[in-house]
Amino acid sequence: MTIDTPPTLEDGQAPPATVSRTGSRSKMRQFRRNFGAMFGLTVIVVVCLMALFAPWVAPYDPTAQVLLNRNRPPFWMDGGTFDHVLGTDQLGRDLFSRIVYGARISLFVGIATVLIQTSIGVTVGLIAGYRRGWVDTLFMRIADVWLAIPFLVLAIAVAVILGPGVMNTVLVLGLVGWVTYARVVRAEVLTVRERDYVLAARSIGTPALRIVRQHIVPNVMASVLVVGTLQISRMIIAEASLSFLGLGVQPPNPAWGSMISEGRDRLGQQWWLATMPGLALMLTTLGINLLGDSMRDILDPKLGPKEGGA
Amino acid sequence: MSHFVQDSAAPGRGDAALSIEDLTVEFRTPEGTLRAVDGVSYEVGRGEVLGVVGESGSGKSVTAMSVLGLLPMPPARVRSGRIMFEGEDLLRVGRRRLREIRGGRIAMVFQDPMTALNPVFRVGDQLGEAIRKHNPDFSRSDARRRAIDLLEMVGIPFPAQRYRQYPHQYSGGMRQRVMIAMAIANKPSVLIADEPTTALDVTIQAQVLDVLKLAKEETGAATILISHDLGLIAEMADRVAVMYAGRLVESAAVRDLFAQPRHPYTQGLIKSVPSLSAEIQALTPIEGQPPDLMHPPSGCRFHPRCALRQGRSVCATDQPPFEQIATGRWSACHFHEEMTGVDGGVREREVDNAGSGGGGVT
Amino acid sequence: MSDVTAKRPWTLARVTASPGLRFAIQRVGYGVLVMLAVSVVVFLLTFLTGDPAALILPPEATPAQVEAFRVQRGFDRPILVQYWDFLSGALTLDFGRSLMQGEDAMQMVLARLAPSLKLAMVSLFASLVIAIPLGLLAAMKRGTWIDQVSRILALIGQCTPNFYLGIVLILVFAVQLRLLPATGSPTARGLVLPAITLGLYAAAETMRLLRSSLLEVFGEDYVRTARAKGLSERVTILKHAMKNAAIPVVTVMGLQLNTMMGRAVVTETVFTYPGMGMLAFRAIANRDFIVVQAFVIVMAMVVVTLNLIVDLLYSRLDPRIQLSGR
Repeated sequence: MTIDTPPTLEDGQAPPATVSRTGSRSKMRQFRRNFGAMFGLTVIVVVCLMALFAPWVAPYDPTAQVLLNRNRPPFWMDGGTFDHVLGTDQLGRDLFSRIVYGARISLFVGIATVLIQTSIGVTVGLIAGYRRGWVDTLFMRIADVWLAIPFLVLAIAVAVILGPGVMNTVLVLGLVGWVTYARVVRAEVLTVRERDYVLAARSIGTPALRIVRQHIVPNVMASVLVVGTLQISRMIIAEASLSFLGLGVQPPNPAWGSMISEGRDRLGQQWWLATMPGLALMLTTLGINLLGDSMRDILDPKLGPKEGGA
Repeated sequence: MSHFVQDSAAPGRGDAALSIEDLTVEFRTPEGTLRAVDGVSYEVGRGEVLGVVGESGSGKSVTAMSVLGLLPMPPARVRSGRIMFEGEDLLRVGRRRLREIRGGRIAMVFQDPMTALNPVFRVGDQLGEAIRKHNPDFSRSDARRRAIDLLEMVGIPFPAQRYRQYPHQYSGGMRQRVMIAMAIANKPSVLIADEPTTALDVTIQAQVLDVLKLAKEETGAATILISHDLGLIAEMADRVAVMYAGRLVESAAVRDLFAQPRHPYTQGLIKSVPSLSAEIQALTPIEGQPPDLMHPPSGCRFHPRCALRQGRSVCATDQPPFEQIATGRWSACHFHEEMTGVDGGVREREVDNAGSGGGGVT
Repeated sequence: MSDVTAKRPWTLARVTASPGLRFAIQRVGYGVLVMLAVSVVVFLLTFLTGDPAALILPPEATPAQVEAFRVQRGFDRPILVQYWDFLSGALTLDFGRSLMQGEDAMQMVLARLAPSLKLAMVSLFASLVIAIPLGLLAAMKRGTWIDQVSRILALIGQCTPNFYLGIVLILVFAVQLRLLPATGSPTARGLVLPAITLGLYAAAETMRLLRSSLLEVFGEDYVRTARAKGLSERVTILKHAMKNAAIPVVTVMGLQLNTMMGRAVVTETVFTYPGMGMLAFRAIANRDFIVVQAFVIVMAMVVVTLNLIVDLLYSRLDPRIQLSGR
């Protein structure tokens, strides 16, 4: 009883070259109603502002050692003062100032790493998904193998070989995590490239690069944004782990990971030295994850929590 | 068919196998509450096939699902009504009793056989599970033997081998045969088939229909056949209930309904499908959009699309009662008496509508 | 049936008959491929700076010493010859002697393998014991406070870096309460804190995944069919829904094992747990690359083997998998 109509340009579910905007107003309302998302956003904005304006936010130079002020507790404990809100470490450095500056390093590493991962992953995913055939097979096999290599271990080894430091950390972590993006983008491209408006564009001889840029990239951006956001928090944790092991950011630069490592030796006496930067780290990653989860719910419900795998 | 055609589609005869009385079901959505079924009553007698017709969204499936309590609650909620089966109200029996009835005394065949079977269990085990659940004294091998018999009965070749396969190794038509086998496994007294052939290829539809007929004859079950396919209804049903926007609009014996519809919606439906006779006529789709149940039209819900209305205001203000208009005939139209001529007197008034696009049944 | 495998000419799969065996062979072949790739990466690792001799020797070594070392170690030969040497050594589990201790590197790593595996398995088990009931409960009580609380817990679990969690656990249970030892060991008491530290992230991830996977499955037609058959909610959920919901969970478990082995290095370091992660960390600190190489290879072998087990488990769960490869 149904009549088959030939596919037309108007037939596709999404208009060409745009992410579907249907019901965007109700989605915004949904977002605002979502406490988690707002909480996450607030935390991230605060951390970003802290990082950007660290010299103005932090009351002291994070590396200045004032030996007379060593081992001060936070203000709410006996002997604590508001001069040093979170107290000082064994070298008399202000803990709060160090945490503020530490946000710079964490965010820088998180964002820079994800940018590297995205550019590799999206390129690979676009090529694999659009070209298909043996190119696709080759790239996806490489991705499979990549996932099976214990990379934190390699990152540790590479950090030793290249020498520790922020830039090497970014490079190592950046080269590791592209697979997730490649898989997500590829899966998306495989469906988008069969949509009617892409078929129409191909049939009139639009160059491949232009089709990818105009029709496919806008469609995969939502997924990339979601994956990228969640990945930032993972990379911040990875950087902190490397710094904790002494292989990331080097002293006296105040990275949260190395601060936790230093504070670890004084757990019995000054527990806050390790606990406070740890809380900062947790709160930041929690904020990013909350935001990323809400973005996933809103932008791309079908992405699900499977991270595009399998 | 030799049996006595039931006199009523409305509450209250008492000898029905299953009767639904004044059922109202609502869905809570983020945008508001939606009344999917609004005061629907119908009953089906022993050995009878009741066809329930309507567009998608007319509430015909929701009504059937509430019989077995299979609606997801929330968001669904039964506001009022009774569903009487063997002296019990299915809306009020306990969970345990309902589970005994499900798949035992009342069974259901669903629309999409591709997704109705669990992909990770063997077909035979899924069938055997239904058998053993309602026959606790059956041993594993008893159930297996019965399952293979059932597979053979519904026309699965090599049933013993097929018993051990998984759903993905079956075609769509075969899966629906399995679903029918599962439904009749415990000789139910009521069989509900919700769009049993819609998802299937046209060539397979006829075969599955034959299996369904066989199943009905085998069990003698009262059958509720839900479909938007008038051809299927004409072939299978003894009596038809027509639903529109959550309400019943007409009910009649199948021959009467097709010969002389007494509701303009029914007439529109009949005209919008290829003729059952050999005579070739132009198809006339029903004008206008299917109703938005979030904001249903006032009065008669069909009035914005009605060809019979001709601007009369009562249609937009008063809900027409679903009333008996002749022996065995019920209709919910203010002006049903205007439709007494064979094939309706509406046709002449419909000239303007010819050729305009609009929603057919499919 | 072979239309999918036929597109993959390198698999040995087509030779054999049984689809199950074919699948197994395919996965083993894939594991070998991964190991080869890892061996290349590990081999090239020491060439990252261009000169492995300079990397291994202390900075104060004279050029003559470096040259002598290079010849002694064969670093002056063509790179492919060196790789062949390395590969044949790796195949016989012979990587040479530790630069520091002078012991056989592989023996050193293998001696630490059992405690590490023990920790990983206990952690994985603990994570499942936490994640399965919580995920199930959250999905069944969707939208209630139980769901909210377990989701928040899972989120916090996923956002807690394991080295930090380890420190906090030591602070609370070893330093303050003095209930458990601060140093990890492969004994019941010594495993508790490291296993929680290592298992929490996996537990959080598995719980969230199981919850969303179950919610998806609850909406499937076959769950409705199970109810329509008259099955109880228990059988419907624990049998019909659970087996389907487990499929994506098992897939992710394969990936989890990999990250877990990586995290184990950090966890073992925090608890000075006598596993191969701790050994590797010390070796890295001492620039003992022979041991590091042996460690990475063993680690990759463990990951590949565990992934193989997961794959086979996966094909048991999902009968469709044998036809479509992956």
